[in-house]
Amino acid sequence: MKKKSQLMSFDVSLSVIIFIIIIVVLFSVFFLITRDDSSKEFDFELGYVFSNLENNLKYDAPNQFFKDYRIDSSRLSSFYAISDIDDYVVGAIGNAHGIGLDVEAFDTCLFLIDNDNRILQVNGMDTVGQLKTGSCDAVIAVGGNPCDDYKNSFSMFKPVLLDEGNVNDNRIIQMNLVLCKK
Amino acid sequence: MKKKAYMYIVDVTIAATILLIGIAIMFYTLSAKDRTIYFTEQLSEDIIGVLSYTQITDLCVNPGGAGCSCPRYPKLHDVVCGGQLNQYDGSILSMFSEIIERGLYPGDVIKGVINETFVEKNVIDEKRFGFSVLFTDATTIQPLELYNSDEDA
Repeated sequence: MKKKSQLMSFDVSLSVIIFIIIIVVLFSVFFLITRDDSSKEFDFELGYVFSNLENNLKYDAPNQFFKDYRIDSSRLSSFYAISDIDDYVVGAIGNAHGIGLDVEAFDTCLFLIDNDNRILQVNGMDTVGQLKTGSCDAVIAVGGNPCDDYKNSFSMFKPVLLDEGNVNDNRIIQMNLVLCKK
Repeated sequence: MKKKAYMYIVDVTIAATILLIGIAIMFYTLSAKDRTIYFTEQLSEDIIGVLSYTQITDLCVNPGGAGCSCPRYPKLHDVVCGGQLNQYDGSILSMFSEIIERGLYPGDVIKGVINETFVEKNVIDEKRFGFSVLFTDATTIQPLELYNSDEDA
């Protein structure tokens, strides 16, 4: 009987130990999966994206479409035609300074949402910016997610006045930046 | 004994299989592949900012005068073209200050303008982003709630 009871206690102890180990592993996996520290890691940089864009545009006057919550419609049109938004967000313009995002780490898409909840078309384009696979416009035009092949995506928007130079057309709309982390 | 050992092994195998399936399901359902993180830390500053930089003359024709009209903003039109304001060369935010300081219109009117500008015009999705606008009176230092998305506008 002694041998049997010793075996049983050993068996029970072993079971309990294995059970505890499994529970710890399960909880670790659970917390590992649901941990969201990516936003905290990039908080500092991402908070400055819009102001960095605005500051850098100062050094490229013809393309300075955005200043003091106001978007100049005619300059926006030429910006969409010729510019890569990444240049401005990173701060690579002439004497531009300020905190920007590393072009090696992020790709950026800029677009505007009008009052009818549709993307505002400018110069026949919905979006400006370049991705790994091509232009943001090409991806969004077919209803794709621009950050599909990326690690993470961050979206921010800002209410702005679209100044069309005509009170009948001026309106407050939504400017959006989508940042795809490489 | 052989039979017992066999049963134990089968038991462990089944348990291990169930555990692995459970972990795989948890991993698959909880891992957020296409999750987009929305940054809204600046939103409250931006709401006030756009109201303070947008002039009445940006959105309204001949404010306070003959033929006054705010073509895209009917509720703003009621205020600007109502003939009650003294200052027409300021911003939307300064207009709110004048309304409050002089008691020109009830609170629902300002609430309506804010709701029309941001919510009805799809600038801020009220279903996803709640916001409120407070006005602090300089004399009483009491915050006055101009708008709260949690209440019906």
